Amino acid sequence: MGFDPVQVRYAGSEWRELVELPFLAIQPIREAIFRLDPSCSLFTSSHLLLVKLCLHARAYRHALPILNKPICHFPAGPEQNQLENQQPTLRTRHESSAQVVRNSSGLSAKVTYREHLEYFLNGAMIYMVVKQWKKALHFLTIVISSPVINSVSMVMVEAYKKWILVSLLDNGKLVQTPAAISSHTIKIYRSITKPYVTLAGAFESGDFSRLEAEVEIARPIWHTDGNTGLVLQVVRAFEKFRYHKLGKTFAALTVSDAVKQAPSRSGRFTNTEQFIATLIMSKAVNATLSHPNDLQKSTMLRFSNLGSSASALKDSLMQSQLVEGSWSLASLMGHVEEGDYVLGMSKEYVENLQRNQKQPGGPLKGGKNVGSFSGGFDIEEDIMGDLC
Amino acid sequence: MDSTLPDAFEASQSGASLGQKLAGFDSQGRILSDVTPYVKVDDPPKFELESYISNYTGRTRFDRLYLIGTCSTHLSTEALKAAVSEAKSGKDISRYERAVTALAQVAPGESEAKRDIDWVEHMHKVVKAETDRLEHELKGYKNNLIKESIRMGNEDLGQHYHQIGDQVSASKAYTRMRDYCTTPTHIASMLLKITNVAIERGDWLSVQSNVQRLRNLQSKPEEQTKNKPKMSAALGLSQLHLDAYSDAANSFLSTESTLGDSYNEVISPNDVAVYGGLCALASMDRNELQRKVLDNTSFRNFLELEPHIRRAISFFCNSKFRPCLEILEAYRADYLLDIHLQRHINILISRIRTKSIQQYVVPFNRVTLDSMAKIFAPAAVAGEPLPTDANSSFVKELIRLIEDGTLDGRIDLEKMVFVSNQTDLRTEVQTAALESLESYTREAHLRLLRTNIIRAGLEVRPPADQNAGAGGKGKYARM
Repeated sequence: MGFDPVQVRYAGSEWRELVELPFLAIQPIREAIFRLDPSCSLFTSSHLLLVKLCLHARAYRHALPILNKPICHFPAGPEQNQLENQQPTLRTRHESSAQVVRNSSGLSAKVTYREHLEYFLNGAMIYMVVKQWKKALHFLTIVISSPVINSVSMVMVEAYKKWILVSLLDNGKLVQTPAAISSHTIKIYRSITKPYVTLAGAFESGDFSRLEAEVEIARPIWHTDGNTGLVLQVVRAFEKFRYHKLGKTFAALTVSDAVKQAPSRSGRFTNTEQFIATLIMSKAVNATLSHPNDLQKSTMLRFSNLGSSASALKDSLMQSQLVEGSWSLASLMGHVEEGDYVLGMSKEYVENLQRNQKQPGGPLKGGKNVGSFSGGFDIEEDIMGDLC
Repeated sequence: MDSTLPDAFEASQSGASLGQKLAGFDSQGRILSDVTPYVKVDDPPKFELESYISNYTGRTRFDRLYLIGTCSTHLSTEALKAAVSEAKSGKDISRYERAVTALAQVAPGESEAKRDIDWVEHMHKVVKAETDRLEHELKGYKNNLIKESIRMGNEDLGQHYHQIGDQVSASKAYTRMRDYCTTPTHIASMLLKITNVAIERGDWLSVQSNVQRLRNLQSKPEEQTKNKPKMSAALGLSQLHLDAYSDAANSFLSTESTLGDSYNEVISPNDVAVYGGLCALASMDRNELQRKVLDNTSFRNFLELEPHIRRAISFFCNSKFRPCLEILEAYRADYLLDIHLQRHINILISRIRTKSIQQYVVPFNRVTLDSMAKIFAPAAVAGEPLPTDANSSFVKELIRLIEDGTLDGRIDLEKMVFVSNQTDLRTEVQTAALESLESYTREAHLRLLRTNIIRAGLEVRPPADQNAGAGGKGKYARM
């Protein structure tokens, strides 16, 4: 079938959609990023572009290969370039191209704090769409714990709102804020995101009607923040976690008792059984439903043994997870070592070292061997090796 | 009821209904109590009022009588009449008036229920004259600069204030004695007096600090042996009121039996046995109870005064929880009429009950709810669902205990059993390893990013530095 321009004229809007679709750009950009830096540990402006395009085109899964590679480095500022020239061996020493790309090389546009914050926020949003809550939470944590100087970016506040919601979705409770955030910053967050904080309070109190009321009251706020979808998911997750908790208290109970114990929206409809069945099928709850022979009796909901649910995780699966974890940790450690090396070469560190050496007892304190990190982490890796 | 704390009361359970009450401080720092009692006790108490009150001396007699009179429906008239005559024999007018008002509410027909105006006016004059006289004398002593006289003048004044019910002035006067004390004996007697006033005021922190001072005092050995039991008892009381039941138990248990009747203005040896026994039951495990309470030779002397407490403890140690709880239930009404236990008895009994349930399920892998209910909820209250029903208070109690983590198990409402949780150590270790690996990786990544962000100069800065970047996306306004 050939291309017929006349024919296409009749499907104008579809054609435009196809041509202007950001989707087409995704593949090449992703390839380009991978070719430049296979480990993908260096943040460039192309990363942000790609993630934004993916969000725009709703091609979420296409961004995952990039997102799954942990970002560890940022384009170096001008003072590091100088350093770079003095240390040409680095280029061959490290696989990562972190030291190669700098602002002057033109491989990345000028990066400001806004870019990397937006990258992680957008990345988190992609993870949320594909429901990988843990990774989303990690990305949001990166944003909200980003270093600040007397100021908080609005991007971080947006991230904090989502962080509260995702933390509820993933854990059924508010997780602790990372230690790196200063209490002052947290205060700012909390004062701006009041409705979210109260929503989390209602969620944790276990009172469904209160949760619903909070959701209703602040509906316009969820809408303006673009978080309505997440909030609705939080409400659904609330029911899921209620049944989770029920499974810790009861080994078995009738469905009608379950509704009494965990009053929720589903309780008001007749299809509670249906709802529980959905939970079981989606593996959110590890339980079985059994209909009694006697139709008068209510259906019995039996939760599986707590121990057996965990052992359902096969040994082989466990092993592969451990291996995978140890790999990602090892690669991360490589980056840590690299960062440590570069920091050890920085002007500030050397100056500090010199100052310490002038003081009595200084060399002992300040004379840290640059390679000492690798020694410590070898032990770490050995532990993991034993486990596998 | 001067010495009851203004704290909120625990809701009482069977046999007692909660009366709402507000308490506030008057200008002198005393606790005002209006006539509505905290708790109404309808069950008849087991003790004889006459013999009970004869255990005590001093101002606590009135406090106890008044408390019983306002709380117990059975003994109200009798106790309040005794309270009126008790108050009339003293010098505290406000007490007399409170007792009369309370009696007038309960039994308006009684002759004592009328305010004796003559007595009140006479007493006003007497008290005023006495205060003036003592103040005047003290002034004279101060001019003469004789330490011992000043000390005694202050002591007399403190005693007088204590008697007329002005506790703040009393403790001030006693505190002023400090500078004029010349021997450790004087200091010890002063501290004991302050402690007694503080106990009556319900100022438990001050009780603790004064007992601490008393303990650090270097005095003669015979003095020490005399004061030591009092110190332990006072300390135990303050710990009981501050909800530190385990500490209170240890303090009461270390009270020596030489206490005897020497501290009757505050606490009787029977009280030590009851308070100590209950606090120990609520806070210790079975081995500790056996070792520290039943095998404790000095505390045994106290326990012999209250044999039912001893029985309850030994039942608990022998895992016979039903009789133990039954004894406590039977005496609940008595303890609700005790000036110090009233606030705490419900908490103490519910703790003992929780501990019994915990102990009961330990040996079982699964145990039927029926057999548990037989022990912990034997009397099915009419109109209540059966004890094994999902909505019964017993099952609800179990659910609460499981939810707050006290009981490690689950309820099976199909087979009506309580199932203990089985732990699979292997999987537990594996999951823990995975979790720690994950959290470590995440944390390390966060830190690394942070370092590198700072190194690349990408911290979030105030807008003034960043005019160039402001042109970008309008969506995120910067602060």
